[in-house]
Amino acid sequence: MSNISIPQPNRPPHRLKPLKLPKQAWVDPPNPISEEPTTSQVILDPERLLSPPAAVGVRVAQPGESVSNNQTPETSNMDSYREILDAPLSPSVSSTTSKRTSLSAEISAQIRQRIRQQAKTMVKKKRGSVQLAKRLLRSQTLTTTSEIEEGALDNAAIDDKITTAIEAGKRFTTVDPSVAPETVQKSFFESLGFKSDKPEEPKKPTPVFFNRSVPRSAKNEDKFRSMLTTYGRIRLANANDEVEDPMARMNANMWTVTPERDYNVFMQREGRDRAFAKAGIQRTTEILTDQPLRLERDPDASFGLLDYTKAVNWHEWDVHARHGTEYFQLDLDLNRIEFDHHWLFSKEDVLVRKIKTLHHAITQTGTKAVEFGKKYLMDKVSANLRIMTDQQRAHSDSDLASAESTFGELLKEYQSLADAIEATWGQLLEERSHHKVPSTTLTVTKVDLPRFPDFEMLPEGFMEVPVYLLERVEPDEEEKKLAKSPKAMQKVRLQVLIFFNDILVCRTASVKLLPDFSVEFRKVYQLRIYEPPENIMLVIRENHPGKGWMELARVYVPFPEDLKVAELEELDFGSDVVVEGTSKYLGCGHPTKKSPCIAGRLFCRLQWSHTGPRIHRMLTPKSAQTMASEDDAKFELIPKALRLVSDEEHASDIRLEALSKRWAGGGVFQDNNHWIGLTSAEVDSSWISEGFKDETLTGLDFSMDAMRRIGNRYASLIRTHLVEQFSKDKRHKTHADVIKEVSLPTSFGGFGDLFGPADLSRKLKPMRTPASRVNTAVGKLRLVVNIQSAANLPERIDKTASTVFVECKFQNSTGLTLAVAGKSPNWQETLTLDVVAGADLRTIIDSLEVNVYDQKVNKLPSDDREPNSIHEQMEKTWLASLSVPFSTIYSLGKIDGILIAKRPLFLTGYKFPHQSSYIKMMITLDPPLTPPAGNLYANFLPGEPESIMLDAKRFESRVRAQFPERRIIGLVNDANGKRILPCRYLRPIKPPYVVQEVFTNVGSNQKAIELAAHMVSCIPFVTDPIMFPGVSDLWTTTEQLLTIGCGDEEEHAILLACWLMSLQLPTVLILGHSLPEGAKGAFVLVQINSHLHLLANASDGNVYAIDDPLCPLMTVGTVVTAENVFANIQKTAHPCLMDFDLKNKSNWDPLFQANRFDLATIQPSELTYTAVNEDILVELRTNLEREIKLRFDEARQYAIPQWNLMASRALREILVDMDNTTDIATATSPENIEYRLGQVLGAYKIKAVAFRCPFVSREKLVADVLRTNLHINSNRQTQFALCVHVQPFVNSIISCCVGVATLLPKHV
Amino acid sequence: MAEVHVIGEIYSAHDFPDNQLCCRWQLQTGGGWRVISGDREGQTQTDLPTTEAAYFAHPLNIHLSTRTIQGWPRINIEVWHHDQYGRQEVYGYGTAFIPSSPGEHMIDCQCWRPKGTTRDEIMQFFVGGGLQLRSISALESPAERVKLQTVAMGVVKLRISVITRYFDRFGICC
Repeated sequence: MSNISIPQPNRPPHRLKPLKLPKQAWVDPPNPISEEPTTSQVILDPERLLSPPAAVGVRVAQPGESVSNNQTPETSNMDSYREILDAPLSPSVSSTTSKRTSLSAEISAQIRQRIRQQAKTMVKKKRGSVQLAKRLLRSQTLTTTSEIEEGALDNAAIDDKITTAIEAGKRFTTVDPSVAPETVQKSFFESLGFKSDKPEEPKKPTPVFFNRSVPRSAKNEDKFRSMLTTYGRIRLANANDEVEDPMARMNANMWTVTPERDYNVFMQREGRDRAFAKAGIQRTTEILTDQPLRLERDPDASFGLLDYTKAVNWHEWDVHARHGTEYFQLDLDLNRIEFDHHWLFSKEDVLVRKIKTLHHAITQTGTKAVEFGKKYLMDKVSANLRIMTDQQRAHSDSDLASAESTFGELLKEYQSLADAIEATWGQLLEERSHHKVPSTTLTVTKVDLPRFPDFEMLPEGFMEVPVYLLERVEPDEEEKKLAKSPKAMQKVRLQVLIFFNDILVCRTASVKLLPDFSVEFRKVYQLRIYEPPENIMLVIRENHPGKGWMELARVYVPFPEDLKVAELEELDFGSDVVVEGTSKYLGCGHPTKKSPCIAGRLFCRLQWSHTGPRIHRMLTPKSAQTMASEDDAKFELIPKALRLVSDEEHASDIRLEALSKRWAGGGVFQDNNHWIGLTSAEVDSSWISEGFKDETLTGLDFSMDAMRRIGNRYASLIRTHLVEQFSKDKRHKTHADVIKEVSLPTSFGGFGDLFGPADLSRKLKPMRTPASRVNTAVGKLRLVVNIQSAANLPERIDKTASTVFVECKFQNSTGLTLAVAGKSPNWQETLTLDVVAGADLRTIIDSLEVNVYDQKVNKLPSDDREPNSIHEQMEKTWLASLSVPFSTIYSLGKIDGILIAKRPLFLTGYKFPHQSSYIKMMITLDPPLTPPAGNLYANFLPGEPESIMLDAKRFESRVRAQFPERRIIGLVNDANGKRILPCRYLRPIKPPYVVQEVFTNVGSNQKAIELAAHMVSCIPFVTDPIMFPGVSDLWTTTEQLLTIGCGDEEEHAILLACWLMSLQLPTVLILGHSLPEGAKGAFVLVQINSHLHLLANASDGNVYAIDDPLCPLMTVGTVVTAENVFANIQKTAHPCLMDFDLKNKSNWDPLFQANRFDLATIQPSELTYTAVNEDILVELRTNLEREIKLRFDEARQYAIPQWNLMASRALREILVDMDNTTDIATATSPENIEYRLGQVLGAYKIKAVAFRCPFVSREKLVADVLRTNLHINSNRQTQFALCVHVQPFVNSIISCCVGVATLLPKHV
Repeated sequence: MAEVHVIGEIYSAHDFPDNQLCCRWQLQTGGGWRVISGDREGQTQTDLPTTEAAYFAHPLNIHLSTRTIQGWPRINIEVWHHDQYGRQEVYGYGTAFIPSSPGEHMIDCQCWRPKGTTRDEIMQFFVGGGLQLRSISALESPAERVKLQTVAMGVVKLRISVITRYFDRFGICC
């Protein structure tokens, strides 16, 4: 039989899974089987037919499996046994599963054989003759030719069946195209030498053939028709062959289709065998579910997914943003309050309460004992039963013994509690007999425990314990009248206030106190929560007529940790309320008078409902979150199988970094000059670390510099963070930013033009047309600086007139005025400076530098050999300077005023006037720009109670409506992004010792104030685009300011104000517009005595008298005191013209009508001042000197400077002395300097200059030194001297004095 | 790592009951994705057309990189209607995956709005406004979607070109 060639199944056996079909489907086949086996209605075992390769798996695994269910018992065993015997290789099949690939050809041949045989037996069986089977049995032993022939004939028929079945089965088995066909696999594993031992496959005819196109003819049409197969009801063999809808049979409700489908046609086309099992169409079983895929629902059912939203106007978009509606519901189930003691307790009540408490305890002890006993019994029984070693036995014995002793202790405890109950009960009875009318209805009855057989084994004593029952005896009718609870009790009401995050959200109804001193609320309060919950507090209060409401206790309810249904929680509370006792009542709160404090228990339950996924994030504290993540260490966001690259690799791709950096628009990519290549190799790694690069300069870095830098970065970081967090949209752009619209001329405007003043601008009569402001700078933006005049500049001692010119510097461009003679020169000259284009104007942090120089022509040593040439050099002597930040110019639009200029400490050859130097100038932008809109702070969190927030808002809008130009501030932002009152920042804080010493010892208030102002001004300022006025008005506390080491103008002023307040000086903080700070101006107004008020500017340390008309504070907007905020509603805004009587409400509009003294400050009570580290100072000084000398060398390319050490020492001495004396004016007088320098160096002509500045950074200081212009000197004999004196204050606040000098030998 | 560039436009919206519309869109990705450049979300202009459809031609240009092919990016769209009183109301939600095969694709994003209770529908008809999804997550989660009853509203057309890179390194042929 094995030599019959059959097609090989070309599937790898291990890829396939047997199709699981319900067995019963084949017990009762759906169609009647026709009697003639030759007419193809042979039913084969479907498991083998439909999935031939599956049979391999099945057979290999279970070689002895019985074949089929519907075999008669007597044949089935025989057949299957013989099958196994017949199969020549079957034992090896079962053992060679691992060699399937090489053997599969043979195996499949065997399988084929076996199927054939099986089929044969079935055919015979279907013929219905047991005899035939018997004959077959016989034929196996006596092989006759006739049998073979018959078998061969059968075989041919069966083989056909098998092949068709295999072909049909293929349709229902998945073919994995990714796995190579078996032959390919085989050749791969067995290399070239493999020779197939299976017979050659017969060549199949190709399924397609070429046919010429032929003209249409009747014959052809007939032929064509004969090739068509038509399906339909008429073609059905017989009418009984109805096929019912197999789907409908499965689940009539779900799958019935209308109109009905004709499955007969389907059957005809697809063939009967494979079409249906009883279970339906094959392979559909997996996708069938019994659940409907559409929810059975009421059309109006809501799943909490939708909200009806009104149509809103477009400009209210933000108000109706979706995120606002998200909330969580917290259910507070407030059950009851039970008092353990109340001031209305009588003695009887106390006893009753005591019994109750004892009973509670005894019940608990009893339960514990019973549980323990049960465990003990179990242990005892199991110890007897188990087989143990001696050691274990001893161990368990000792365990049992100890358990017995603890059990005994429990019993003792129980006993003692029982005694206590009985004693108290006795007392209670006695008490009741005293008063004839009992006020309580409690009785105690003693019950014996029923006997349980199980408890026999317990140690004795347990059975004797008494059990007490508490009962409330209903009093008789007449007794009831008497036992009525006292009147006082009926009047008492209790109420609970519910606070969420310290905000009162709800109050319960006031509820009567019940006779047994409990209060029943039994209400569930649903709290809708929008904020992260911090605490829930319940305030229990009591109302008694005549006494009013009285707060008893505050109870904090713990939040449920998860979303499970929580148990009713019992929260103990106590109160220290004192109520005097009376004859009837004990009262409470007098420990000496033996009345205990009010105590009780509150029963409540908190539970989350209406939760979303966000709630976990909101609720779980951060520590818990990290804990959880540690627990599920196995969790991976991206399963391993789906991961393409590791996180590190993904994060460290330099090209992607560069691309995202370019998108963010920072650093190198600002000017778009860099292109980024296609691969990482083309990207310069320095672009990414660029943020750090520009700060690391050449030369050594030292610690003070690093500290300053870190502080600055941190300060800007918290601001950036807050702004990003709370701003609604990071690209806050207004409509006008995007679209440039020319406003339509109104009809009135047209009329105005017609009938307006007729005097037009003529050549000889120029008129000023108001400049129209542009929103965005298109094209080039220029800074227009009009230098008008200067006053009080240093003048030459030698009485010659100085010739002064002004140099303006902004970014890369410089402008010079002509030189004008005189100590108060008048230039009236306009310079234009270019602003580097491209960047967002808000991010420009450069400032306009204005330097005033005196120019003088000096003779140079001439050479005798050139008699006709004159050698001269122009010397520029630095007289004063000032700087105006660009942000001020941009936000104010136009600066027109008097600016104070900073002068050197001393300058040889020049005399300083007593007043400060001023420069009058006008600065504006060309084209004029509208100032940027400030932040609205709409999303910042309110940090004040509702009423204050409302007051502040009203205050701001009220005054702003009147004076839109003034700076009105009702609320400021703290470091957490909360809006709070500025008053909370003011509080007396002890200044450093130096200031106190000056204040007390020197006795001059003004000196102390100047010193304090100077000290504060030495704290560096934050330089960052985020500091743009209005972007983030964030005030840190003084402690944060000192820790961070830098801050903005307001923070400086606050620190100064706090210091001065602690010196008992009446101090207020003034916020307004000043020069050059612009809209960030903050001054401190101090009253020294009744007629001397000083204005101190904490940002440059200058102090002005209040009536100084040159004070750079241009407008006063808001005045902040520790108790109130006042807005300036006077007509004038310059301090010299104003009235500072804050009580005058016609001049000052207060935020609160009356001063509030209950505003808690957020400042610390005191600051810790630490001395500056000496090492750091020495390092700083030496480094600075070296750096400056280096830059001098660089600046003088043609000659190496000679450094005169003697002069340096002399300069240092002068600077040190200057710091140690309080009288700077005399110390820096030209005579003194002359004297001191001349003493040492009589042989030189000295030109020395010294200036003082806060230490911000090395670069800044070096630039300041070079500004003095002393390094530019072409005299070859020039020597130089330099000294840096660093004066430390506290907490890394450092003031630097730098002295530079040029020395020329006199004998020349 | 693999990269995807999404370049294209929100082209138009048509078949809506009224075509005075604007679209808010948002690119949503799974955890392993990272937006290198380009905006993740935005809003088109409000088109008040007299033509048959509303045309936005709102450019999209997003560069993404990924560690995984899980969570393939998709665009969630909210269509808002500008009614005759100048108010806004939701007109539909839709979501469409960014095609994973490179090339230019014209995508029809079918939009629907949630159908509310009878009262809501009457309100909507007379008063305006409409039902909004509480959370846009309903666009993603099938468990929530099954609960929704919706009304088909119209089609938003997207024209999207996709450039993929390095997917072949990982044996992914798009």
